[in-house]
Formats: sequence, structure tokens, C-alpha cells
Amino acid sequence: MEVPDEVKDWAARCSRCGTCKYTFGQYLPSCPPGQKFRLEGYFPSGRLWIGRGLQEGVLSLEDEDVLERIYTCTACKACDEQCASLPKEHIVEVIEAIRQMVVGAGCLLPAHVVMIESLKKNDNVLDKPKEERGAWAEGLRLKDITKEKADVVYHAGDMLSFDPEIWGAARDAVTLLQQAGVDFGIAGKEETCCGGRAYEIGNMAEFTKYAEHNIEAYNGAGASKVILSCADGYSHMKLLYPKVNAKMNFEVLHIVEYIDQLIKEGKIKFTKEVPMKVTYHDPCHLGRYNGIYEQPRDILNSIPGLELVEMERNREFSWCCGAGAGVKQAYPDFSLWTANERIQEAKATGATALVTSCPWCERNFKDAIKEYGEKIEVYDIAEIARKAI
Amino acid sequence: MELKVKEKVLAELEKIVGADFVSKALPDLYSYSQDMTENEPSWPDFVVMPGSVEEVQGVLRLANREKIPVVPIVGGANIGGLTIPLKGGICLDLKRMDRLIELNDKEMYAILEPGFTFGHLRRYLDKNYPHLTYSYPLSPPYTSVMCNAMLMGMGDMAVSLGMNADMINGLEVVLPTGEVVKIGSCSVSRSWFGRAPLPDIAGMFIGWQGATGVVTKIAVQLWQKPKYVEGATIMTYDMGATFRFMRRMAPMRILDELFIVPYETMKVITTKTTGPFERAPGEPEFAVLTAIAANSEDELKAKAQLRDAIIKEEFKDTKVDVMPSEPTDLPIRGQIDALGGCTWMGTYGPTSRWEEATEKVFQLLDKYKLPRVGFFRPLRQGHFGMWRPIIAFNKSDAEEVDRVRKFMREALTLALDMDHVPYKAPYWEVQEMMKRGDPNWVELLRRVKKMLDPNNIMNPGRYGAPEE
Ligand SMILES: Cc1cc2nc3c(=O)[nH]c(=O)nc-3n(C[C@H](O)[C@H](O)[C@H](O)COP(=O)(O)OP(=O)(O)OC[C@H]3O[C@@H](n4cnc5c(N)ncnc54)[C@H](O)[C@@H]3O)c2cc1C
Ligand code: SF4
Ligand code: SF4
Repeated sequence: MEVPDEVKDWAARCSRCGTCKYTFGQYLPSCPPGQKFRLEGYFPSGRLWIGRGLQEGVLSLEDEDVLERIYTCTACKACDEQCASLPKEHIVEVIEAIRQMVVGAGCLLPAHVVMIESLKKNDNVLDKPKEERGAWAEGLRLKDITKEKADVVYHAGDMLSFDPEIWGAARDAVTLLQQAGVDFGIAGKEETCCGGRAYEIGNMAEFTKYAEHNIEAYNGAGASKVILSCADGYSHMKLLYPKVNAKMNFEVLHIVEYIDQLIKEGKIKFTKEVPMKVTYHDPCHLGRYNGIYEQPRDILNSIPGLELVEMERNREFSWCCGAGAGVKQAYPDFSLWTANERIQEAKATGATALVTSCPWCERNFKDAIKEYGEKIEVYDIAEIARKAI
Repeated sequence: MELKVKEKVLAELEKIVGADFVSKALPDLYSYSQDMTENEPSWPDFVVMPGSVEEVQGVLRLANREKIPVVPIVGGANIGGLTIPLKGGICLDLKRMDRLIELNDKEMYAILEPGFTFGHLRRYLDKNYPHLTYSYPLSPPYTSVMCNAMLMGMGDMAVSLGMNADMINGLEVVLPTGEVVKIGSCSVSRSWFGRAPLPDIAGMFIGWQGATGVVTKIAVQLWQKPKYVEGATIMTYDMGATFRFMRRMAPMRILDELFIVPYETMKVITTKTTGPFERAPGEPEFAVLTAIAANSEDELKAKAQLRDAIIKEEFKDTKVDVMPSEPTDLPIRGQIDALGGCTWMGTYGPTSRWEEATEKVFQLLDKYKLPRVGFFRPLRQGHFGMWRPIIAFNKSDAEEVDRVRKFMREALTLALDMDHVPYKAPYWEVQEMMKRGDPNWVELLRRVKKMLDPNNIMNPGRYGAPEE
């Protein structure tokens, strides 16, 4: 069994000091699977040590218990933020490298096999028919970038494309772009997955295929910018696509960055009062992965009548929504438990709505609210911004 | 353990604590088979996470009946291999028992469960009792307040107050045979104000490394937080003057914190490597970190003046640089354990031997190509001191681990020859002490252990273990 360098270099550098288990200074839980399952193997240190055990040959990828501990990680990166020792910034890297070993050994979890098969068949990880993609934009008369050029491409991604209950996030985002006079288009039915979930579950071949495809498609559209409402997709395009052997001629922006920019340029003006008390959830891929903390808060704070209150764990200390890295598919109950922990924290602020800027978070919060019978509204930030226009 | 017995035990354990909190999964067992030190791994058969005193009792009764070893653990960060299950059995992980049971601000104590950590304590005090503090160690935030006190560890008030074990007011212990016993004033009153005036049987548990019972509650003393604090770091260039200064300051009750680190310690922390480091010309040999605490600005000023006068006198013949510094705000994260492997020859002993001991240990570190890292602190106003060469190392480098092991063997002999006693001592150090120690002391340890733990189930191989 070939052990990747990331595992060799970093797994043994964890002393199991335990610092990553809590948000430093607040001492509130930081790692969702660790907090839920409590056994050491579910904590970041446990996963790093699994890397060591694999390297020493005393643990095996065929062991279901190993797979469970490796795949209950939501790749939220809280551990990379908390660790102050050598593994810092390399923990998720090691976990992802172990997942690549799993794929190499042919031991992928059944739920993830379904995702990969769906990718191959439908170009999405959600097992949805390809033809349904783009339906979210019906009636909006958006430019089709497969037919005409546009300066900006809006990439909806899998989750927003196929889930009518959260289409508002995409529809309101593009409405804001329209109102700001941005020249943009979408790929509609021809859009494909960003490939990020394949990367996160360890399938590099599928990831590379989609990365190369999207780079070629958006270069071809002549776009200078690709905008996403999906924090995961944004992060994968921004951080992982440059590692693929294909030159990107466009910049990748998350919708919060772009709206914030348009507000500051005076192209979007909030005129209507939105008398709501809201709290903002930092999606891991926007916050910890890309350091985008202030723009969404600036947007919310510039909406007349809106009151923004913070959860105790905010910005880099934010608790994950539980949906990422294939966890929602493979461990749905744990995923909802994680979301519910966040909902409780949101409720404790006195806010009546939880605002986020990623459809995966939004979906998971909505599912958890249903599952646990909770009462709090959930919005994408674009929906709130749209109310103010 | 035979497969059939194992299955039966597993079923019973699941009944006691719930199936979610028992594991025989290899990746979990692996995590508990070793720690950050160079001590050899040894695998447990089960990891069990009880959530209550009753569950601890249930596990111990079962283990005692079946003669299964039980090793209590919270953070496993003791730097002594003390939670490595030398003879397999059950790793009793107490992280779920993490409540603060009571905080008494009048008598200034807190009653805690094992899983309550320094991080938890700091958060609780800052939020609810900001005028109170604890003698926080430099250990990682997610380590147990109870374990540290039971191991006779020390924190940032140790220069004046001594070990955290001296600040234990009372205990609740589950004996290896399953009975629950209270120790201290709480055994005869409702208050956990202290251990005196009663026969002090807390000594049957404190310092025993979990070999005589499972402590389920501990009352620890809290202290009033000083209003004014001032730090100063003193860079020194002469070992003799440095230790003389320390010995002179400690009994004066001026400094609330005073610890000495060889300058290379800073280099390991800042570069996160083990060197080798060349000592550049003009570079200091030690850094002395000090802090003064006071109730008024005048008191602070007066103490600082005294400190400065003594620095002037003690370093009159050698170079010294004094600079103001922020007193360490504990707990902190990411320290010397940063390289993955960490061990130490942590000892308590007479500070009068420190020049000789330190000179010799530096030579030993050089011999094994290890950086001169350490931590030296006078305790309880100088009655004794903590002398601790520390080794940070890469656990995946077999050659380095071997060098560290050899160093540790020689360092133990050196420490014992210098009349220093290792604390948080791994099993091989304990064996050496039991070999060297007063035979009647050894016999008494064994008798106490046998009385409390007739089947030798609790953390076997530690103090009082029967001769093999
Ligand atoms: C970087 C670093 C710095 C450190 N600095 C300091 C310092 O400045 N001062 C200091 O004193 N220590 C220090 N330590 C040592 C250690 O971290 C602390 O003493 C710590 O509090 C141990 O807690 P733990 O939860 O890791 O205990 P563990 O390692 O889990 O347990 C310690 C011992 O207690 C036993 N035990 C656990 N629970 C129970 C129980 N309920 N009943 C009976 N026995 C039990 C275990 O079997 C073991 O023998 C440091 C450690 C590190 C890694
Ligand atoms: S990952 Fe970092 S913070 Fe977590 S236990 Fe390991 S060294 Fe400590
Ligand atoms: S990435 Fe998140 S879920 Fe994964 S180990 Fe780190 S803290 Fe835990």
C-alpha cells in the first residue's frame, strides 16, 4: 500500500495534545464527529493517528471502523484552525490523502459509490437527471453562455440546481446581479458538478475530469469571473482548480464577495427596511478555507432595519453545518445532529432567522429543523439582500 | 483475553455504559495504545467511556470479578506513558464526566469531575467568577484539572503555593472493588473545605497514577486573582548567577512566578525543529521568566524595586538584560509538544544541586545530539524545585526515538544521583525507584495497593505493583 507524503510527513507530528477539540479561549466543542461520538478515533488527533497506524501497517483500509472514522469528518477545517503544533494546516490534508488511499484500495463507502456513479451518469453527485439542471432559472431570461459570450458566469452547482425548496438563493442572487447591470450568463443544462465532492471523498480522477471540463467551458465562454453561491464549489474552484494542469482565464468569486463589491461601488442600493433579527453562520469553505468573514457581515449590516447578532462560535471558530465532504450522504443522522447543534446556538442569540451563504448549509439546516421540530427561519444571504431592494 | 470471555465482557460493558460508549474497534484501541512519549505502545482490549459514578462502579466491579486491568485516562497528556495499558484490558476514558459540581466562592473551592479541563475551568471562572483563578499549568488546555492535581503537578502559582496536590480539599473515589468513598471534610460534613483535621488518607490515592482507584470528584482550591500583575523576562549569561538569583528570590515572596529555561528552549518553540542550534556569540544562556502580583500599584512598584535591586546585586559580575514582558496567560496552546513526540525527565528535588545537575544534563543532551531544552522552577518559596530537561522529538524517526530512549535511561540515573525524584514517572522509572528505594517503603506501597486493589486491576505496573 502506497502511503502518500502528506500522511508520512504530518500524521506522526500530532502529539494528541487535544487542543483541537475545543475553540481556544472559548472552550466550546470544535470537531462535530468528535463531539458526537466522543471516542478518540473520531477526533482530528485520532484521524491523524489512524494515518500513522496505516503507515505502520497495524491498521487497514478494509476495516469498517477505520472507514467510519475517516469518513465522518466533514472537512470543516476547525482542527486546522485550532491546532498550534506542526500538524496545523495539514490535518484535513492528511484526512483527504487517507481518503485517496481508500479509493485506491477500492474500499469506498456504498453511499459514496452512488455519488461517483451519479457523477459519471448525470454530471452531479445527487443522482438527479441531467436534463433537470438549469430549471431553477426558468422565467428569468438569463444569457446562455454555451451560445453567447458573457463577462461573468454564474455557476449554480449541484445542490442549488436540483432542490426547488432552496432555489430562492440562486434566483435572488442572479436578480441582484441583473439589478446591478452585470453582464452575466449561466450554462443551464450544460453546467456540471464542480468535482469538489469527488475530491473530498478521495476520487482524484473524477475531480480532475470536472475541473478540466469547467476550466475549458468557462475559458471558452470568455468569462473574466465565475460567481458561485455555493461556498463549497467556490472554494474548490478557487483553491483546487489552480492545481490542475489547465490555465484558468477567469477569477472565482463567491456571491458575497461580489455583492459586497457591488454595494461598495454603489451598484446595489438597499432601500427597503428589513426588520429582522438574524444571526449569520459562516460556511466552513467560505470562512476557514478562504478567510471570508467580513463581507457577509458588511452586507447584512448595510441592510436598513436589520439587526445582526453573533453566535458565540463565529468566524474562524464557527461550528460546521454537518453537510460537507460526503457526510450528509453517508451519515445522514450525524449530519443532522451537527446542524441541530448549530440551530440551538443560533436560537440562543434570540435571532428569528439563521442566515448562511451556502446551499449545503441551508439544506442541512432546513432538514434538521424538520427532523428535530425546531422553529427558526433559514435564509441564504442573497434572499435577505433581495428583500432590501 | 480469550475470545469467549472477551465477548461476554463486551456484552456486560455495553449493558453498563451503553453500546455507544464501548469500543473494541482497532482505530480506537490504537489511539489509546501509546502517547506522545517514547514509551513502548501496548494495546487495550476495550475503550470504555462511563458517564456517571454508578457506571464507573459497574465497570470496576466487572473488571475486579474478571481480573481485567483498568487504566483511567482523560487527556493522556501526562508525559509519562501513564495511560498506556501495560497489560491490556480496559482504558477507562473519563472525558464524558466533565461537570463542575459546585463552586463555593466563599471558601474558594470547586468540586470537579475528572473530565473537567483547564480550558473548561478558565471559561467558567472568567464568565462567572472573574475574581478567582487557579494555579494553571503549562499543559495543553484540554487536560484534566483532577489528573494534574492527583499527579502532583504544578502551575503558575507554584513558586509561592507549591504543588496542586497540596491544594486538594477532598476526593470521592470508586475503589477497585466498587465501593464509593469520600475523603476529607466532605466525609464528615457537607463542606469540602479541606483535608484536615483528619487522618489524611487522600495519600492512598494522590501520586499513585490511578493505581489505587478511580477518583470521580475532586475539590480544588481557587485563589483570588491579583489586581495588578507585571512580567519581566531576564536574559542571563551565567548559570551560577542565574540559580543564585532564583534561590535568593524564591523565599522572599516577591515573585509570584519564576521559571528558568535554557535559551535553546525558545529556539525549539519558535523554529519548531530540534536544531542542531549553534549558540551565537553574545547569545544568552537562560531566560528567566518572572511575574509580580499585587493588590495596589504601590505594592507592585515596591516589589518591582526590590526585584530590580536584587537583579543588580546578583548579576553584578555578569551580563544581564531585563525586559518587560506580558505574564503568561494560561492555558496556552501549542508548546513544546509541537513536534509530535515529547518526553521529559521531570523531577522534584533540592535546588542546591541544580548547577551540577544542569551542567551534567547539558553534557548528556549534547552526547545524544538533543537540544538543551528544559524548565526549572523553585516551588513553595524554594523548599524544593522542579528540575525538568524536556525532549521534543519526531516520533516517526526510529533513530531519534532510540536516542531519546537512551538519553532518558542515563538521565534517570543522573537525576536520582542528584537526589531528585521523578514525577509522573513511567513504569521503568518506578521500577528503578522501587529497586533503589527503602525496602520497607516498597513493601508498604505493595501492602497499601493490595489492600485497596486485591486483584491488581488498577493501572497495573505502576507504584505498588506486586513483584513479578
Ligand atoms: C506540553 C505539556 C506541558 C505540560 N506542562 C505541565 C505543567 O506545567 N505542570 C504540570 O504539572 N503538568 C504539566 N503537563 C503534564 C500533564 O499534561 C498534566 O499534568 C495534565 O493535567 C494531565 O492531564 P491528563 O488529562 O492528560 O491526564 P492523563 O494523562 O489522562 O492521566 C494522568 C494519570 O492520571 C490517571 N487518572 C486519570 N483519571 C483518573 C481518575 N479519575 N482517577 C484516578 N486516576 C486517574 C491516569 O491513569 C494517569 O496515570 C504538561 C503536559 C504537556 C503535554
Ligand atoms: S492535531 Fe494538533 S491540536 Fe490536535 S491533538 Fe494533534 S497536535 Fe494537538
Ligand atoms: S475537519 Fe472538522 S470534522 Fe474533520 S477532523 Fe477536523 S474538526 Fe473534525
